[in-house]
Amino acid sequence: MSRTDKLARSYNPPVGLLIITTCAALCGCIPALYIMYRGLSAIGNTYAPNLTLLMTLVMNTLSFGVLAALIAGILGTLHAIIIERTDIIFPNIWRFLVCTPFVIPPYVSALCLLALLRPHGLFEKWLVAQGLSSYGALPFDAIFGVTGSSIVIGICLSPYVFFPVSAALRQGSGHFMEMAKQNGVPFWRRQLHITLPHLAPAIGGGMLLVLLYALADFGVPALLRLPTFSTTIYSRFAGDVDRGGAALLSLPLMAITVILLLVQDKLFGHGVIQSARAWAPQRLVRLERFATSTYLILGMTILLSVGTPLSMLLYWLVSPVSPAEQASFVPYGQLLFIMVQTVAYAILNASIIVIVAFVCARTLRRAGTLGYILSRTAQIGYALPGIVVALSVVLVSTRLLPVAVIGVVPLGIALFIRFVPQAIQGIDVALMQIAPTLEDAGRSMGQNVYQVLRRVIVPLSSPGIQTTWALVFLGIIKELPATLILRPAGFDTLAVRIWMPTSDGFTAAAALPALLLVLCAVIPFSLIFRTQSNVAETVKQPM
Amino acid sequence: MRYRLMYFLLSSILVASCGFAAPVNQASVEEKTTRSLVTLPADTTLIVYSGRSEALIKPVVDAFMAENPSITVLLKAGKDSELAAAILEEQANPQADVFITTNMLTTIALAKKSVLSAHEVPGIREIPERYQSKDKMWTPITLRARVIMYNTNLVSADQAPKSFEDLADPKWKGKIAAANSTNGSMQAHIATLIAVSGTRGAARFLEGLVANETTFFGGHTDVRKAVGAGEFAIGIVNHYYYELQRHEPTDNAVAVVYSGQEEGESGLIVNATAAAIIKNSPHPEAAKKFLDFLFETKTQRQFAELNYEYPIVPKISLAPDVRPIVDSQIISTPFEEIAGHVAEAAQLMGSAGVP
Repeated sequence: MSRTDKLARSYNPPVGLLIITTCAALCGCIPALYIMYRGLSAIGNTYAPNLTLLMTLVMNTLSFGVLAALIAGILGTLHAIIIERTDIIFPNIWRFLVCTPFVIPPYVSALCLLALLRPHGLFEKWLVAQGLSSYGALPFDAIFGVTGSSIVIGICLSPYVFFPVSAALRQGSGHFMEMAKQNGVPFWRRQLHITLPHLAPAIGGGMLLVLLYALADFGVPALLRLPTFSTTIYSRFAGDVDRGGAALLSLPLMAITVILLLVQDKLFGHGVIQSARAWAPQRLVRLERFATSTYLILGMTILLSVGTPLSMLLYWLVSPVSPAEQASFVPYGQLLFIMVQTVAYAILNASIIVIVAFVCARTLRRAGTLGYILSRTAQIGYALPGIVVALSVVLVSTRLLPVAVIGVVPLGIALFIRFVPQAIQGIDVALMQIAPTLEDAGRSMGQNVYQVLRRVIVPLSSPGIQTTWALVFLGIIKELPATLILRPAGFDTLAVRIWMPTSDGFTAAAALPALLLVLCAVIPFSLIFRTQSNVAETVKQPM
Repeated sequence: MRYRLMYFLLSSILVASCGFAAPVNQASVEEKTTRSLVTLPADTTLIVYSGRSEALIKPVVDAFMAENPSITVLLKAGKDSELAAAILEEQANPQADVFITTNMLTTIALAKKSVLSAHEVPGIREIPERYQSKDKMWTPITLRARVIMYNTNLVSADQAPKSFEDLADPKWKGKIAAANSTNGSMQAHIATLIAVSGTRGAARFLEGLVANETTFFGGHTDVRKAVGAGEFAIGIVNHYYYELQRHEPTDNAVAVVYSGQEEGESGLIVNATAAAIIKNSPHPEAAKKFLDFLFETKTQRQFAELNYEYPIVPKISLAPDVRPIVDSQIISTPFEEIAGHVAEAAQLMGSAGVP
């Protein structure tokens, strides 16, 4: 094991890379600058948020984010270890199933869960009808607030942890474990001292993404009645259109993001690299007497995370609707067109984002302090509420872009700001797993930087890159707040088509677009699975 | 290979479910126009930002395009306040021609920031002056009444509150749902109370709600669903939320109370939806035509039928069973005066402890 950064910083990166990273960093700065600009000009003529409110918001937001990240971290790691390291039957099917929550937008999950489990909801009504309970006897209101919100986000985003951990487990070599075993180290201590440190960057990186997502999310806490920074910032735009106040409230959120990114670097920044020579296959753990409980754990989480929302959506699709709701249905032809449009736009944007993120991730650890600062700056936008990102892009694009190119470009920029951080994160983890010695070897054999990139770096990190692309694609097709504000008039995505009727409380009209969205998500899924299944082969090749 | 099969199965299930659902939605699909949202620009393309839900404005837009084949309307529906914020940020290079809002306070705020352009629609003089913009910066379209809705399984008609003041009665402790202080209609409600019964009166109403442990939601859809489901006995909403809940296939045991209707009382609290033309808009002429169209009798009737609203133009028939309102029973304070109390309303809600 060795530290990547010291070894890797020996080359000067090409100027092109630095220029691209600088552009990405400039885009990442747009919301931050907007917040400063609007916030500073608002000081003195907006209502100062009172201290108690501020403290409540900090407490709510942090406990929600941390709890969601913990749930996702535990679930994702558990799933990955069970599927990759035990003799479970049909690992591929399980792998598919534990990832499916990711294709269901968290706000749809929250909506379904709410209809089912709210006080006087479907479940309580059923219990009362069966004479098993009476209204108010069971604490159904526990679904509101931090508990419900973090469970929904934690479950829906657990694939953020599952993907990298599972990839790390597949790429991981068994030879340390073999050595430890031969030296008589007991099973659990081997896991604690070898497996866990090896997985730490993957788990940490994934949990960080979940935490940042939770900080910025609006839909879930709003539905589940939890006031967070994000929901409060959104509501600041209501009525009085207080942009300055909203901007001021975004400042603490931005500070939290920066701190988290720095902490993450301190904790996991160095990565653990595999020795390229001593690869040995992993032994699978026999489940034996734990088999039943293992299948039960997997089955329960899948039932809760996918079974519930999907069956609620199907139930809404076939249940009778009010006349007002009838008017909210979109003709099938138009819906199909919107679906194609959503997919095409997401493919385009995800590709651009992943290419730029690859450049940034390379610059991050290979271009000294400047590269580090630039790449990290590009990531600031991740935890900011979509509305702040969107409005900052509106302000900049209407001033700087010529009218002719406006169209879908501002939306593209906003999606870039929102998703490039996550892409950099994913690709960085993939790159960290490649031993710098391989690159050195390539260089010493007379290959230039691009040849090494093409023949060593890209092939070795391609599973990570493809998974990242798929995750960004999924993120884009689910994205709502920025899309809602920035889409050109007449341009629709499925997420917008879900939001429109649900904001009026019409769940049946939202069910079909939601199911179509799930269908779209199957496309990148097939990509993830293809690459995930090939990971082992890629690494197993003798070097 | 195994998971390929899984995808196939999953997609087949989804496709099958769509087909299964088809008969349910058939009627609405046939009623819908076949004209797609994304059409090639004809002579003029009018951009409309709408805070009204798409379903509540699209039919009107379609009728307008049928009447004016040279104009294509592109609609961007979203949240009132977010679209307003976008309009403010676009000031340097306006993208929209027309803004339709569900809350006249939003247009009044935009007018103050001088991003709107004046236009007088024909017939505006026939409506009471208190609903109008003095400098014609915005045009009121429909009225919405603030009402109390209650669940008839939990509250009988004779026990029901008669007015907003009755909600301070301790017997409603823990049984009331309302929208929170960030909701536009709630802000307008409190601002109106300040105008009508002074700061003291408005504060008393809010303190009553807080003392009764009222639950405050982000929006009225949550309120109507919670009251319909029986989670709360009473909800403070705009009247069409009551109508929407009443027409739901389930959870529809609800009734309504119009407050302040007795002799000598201050009258019904109302809010207006409104439309305005954006200053320096790319297509001002088409925008004016569109605003005029919104004020025409047939369009006003369409608004009444789409969402149980009260047309601003007098003597237009309402949707079936919607309770008629008379001008004399509505509060007499001009809208633009109410807008002057919004800041105080926000402060009042803050100090009363309304989230």
